[in-house]
Amino acid sequence: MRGVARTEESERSKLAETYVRSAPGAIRLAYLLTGDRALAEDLVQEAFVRFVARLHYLRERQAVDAYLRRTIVNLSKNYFRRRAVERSFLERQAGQRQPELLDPDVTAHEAMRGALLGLPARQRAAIVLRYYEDLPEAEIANILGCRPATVRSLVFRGLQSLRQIPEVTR
Amino acid sequence: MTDPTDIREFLHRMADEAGVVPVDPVPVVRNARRRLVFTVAGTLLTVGVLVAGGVLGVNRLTSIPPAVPASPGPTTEPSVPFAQVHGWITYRSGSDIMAVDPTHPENGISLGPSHGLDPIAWSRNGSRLLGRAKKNLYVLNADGSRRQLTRGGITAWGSFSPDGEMVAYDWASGDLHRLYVIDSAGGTPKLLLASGDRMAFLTFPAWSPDGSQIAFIESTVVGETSWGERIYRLTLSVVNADGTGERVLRDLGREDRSPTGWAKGLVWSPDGSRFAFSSQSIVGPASQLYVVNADGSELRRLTKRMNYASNASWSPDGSRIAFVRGSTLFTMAADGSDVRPMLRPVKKAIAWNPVSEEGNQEEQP
Repeated sequence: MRGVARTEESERSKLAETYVRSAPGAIRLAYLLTGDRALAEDLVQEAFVRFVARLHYLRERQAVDAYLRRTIVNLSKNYFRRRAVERSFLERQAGQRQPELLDPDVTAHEAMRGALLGLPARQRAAIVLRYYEDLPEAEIANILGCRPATVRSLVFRGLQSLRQIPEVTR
Repeated sequence: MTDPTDIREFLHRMADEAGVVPVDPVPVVRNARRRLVFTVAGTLLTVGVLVAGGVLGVNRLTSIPPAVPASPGPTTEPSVPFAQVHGWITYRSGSDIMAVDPTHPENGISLGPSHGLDPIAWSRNGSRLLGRAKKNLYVLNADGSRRQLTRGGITAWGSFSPDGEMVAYDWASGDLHRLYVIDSAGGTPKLLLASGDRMAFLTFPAWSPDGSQIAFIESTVVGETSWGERIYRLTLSVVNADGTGERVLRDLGREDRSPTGWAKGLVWSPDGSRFAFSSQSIVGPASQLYVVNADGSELRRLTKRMNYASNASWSPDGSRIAFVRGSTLFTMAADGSDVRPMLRPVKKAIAWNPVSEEGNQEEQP
């Protein structure tokens, strides 16, 4: 019995350690994909709940990170598919825009932020995974469930869309 | 800015907005670890309770319609009489519900504190204002009272009957999607239409000016991507006000193939001849405004070079349409010409008071 208790304590300890190490990065990734801090925290919490169910299968740190990353990307996409939630999100974004900001840097940042969040979910995910997480195309393809060539296309189209936003073009 | 280096820099700056910093893989001190065990355990316990509560809640929702007793509910302070804003455009700005005279935008007035309410529709005589806050609908009355109409699930949109006595609204919970009608004074809602066995969203009901029909946007699952996301096909549909005679007016296309495949904010023109709506396409330009005849013919895009336009609302005579782009309120002629910026900042939804300034819009019997 003592051995079982020790094992459970060890599992909890690993879980806590994983949470401490991975949660902040996971929240940042979720925030880039959603633009919403509260939503990002919800997604990360959900990702960890799913992660707990697979704790026995994910021993290595790389596997854990990959699993969390993939789960967060999928959760963010699925979350956006719930139309009512997305409606409120878009309206919230619209309400947050401040077009009268005079600081060019702030204006450019806001324009870029709006442009990024306005991209289709897969293009946004591809750009964030490519340029924020610095993942190779093959790994992004694995996360998005597509071919590497499709990743290149998504990144290309995402960048192309960003270039069409006047405030973003310098 | 689209140089990869700039993109990287921007993404890291934006990620900083999340307010957390990445943790380096350093050993965790014992006390912190113990605290976090409790934190995680607490989180998991909370999630468990929420899941259990959610299951019970879903069971309750499936068996009990989202009825709301006709209680007075919270009230706002009595404010400006609604008669003063006939023909004006209502919007939320800051903590107030505001109204602006579209012919003299310098004339604006507060209708009182919003309490988080976004105005979405007026009754035809301008005596009641329908608004949404936190996924529920509320009715504001001219005397400043406010009544909650819906509870539970998610309600995104509603529309008054021509006499202002009833409200049609959408309601969703999980994969349950329904249209209801309810007395605008509150009470027990009556089911108008349910998705039933169809995997479909029923959203954005718009009551016809003659009161005989309710139009809506239906999103039906037509497939799934290879990575498990649902793909929807949208239609502009209509049902008789008694819930019979559902029929499709126009196929708006698949969301992954059609610029109109993500329609929202459906509003019927005052003369009943046309609809206006916006669509946030994932394949075409960003959110645009469209009009289509009431029989589903002659779909036209109104906005040109006006990305992110949404929240259409008709003027009392149907000659102009107000809309929001970013945080700016615009009006334009109903054919898409003569676009005029009006004011900012405007939050979320808007509602153009349907009573002309001469007061020639009478209630229907």
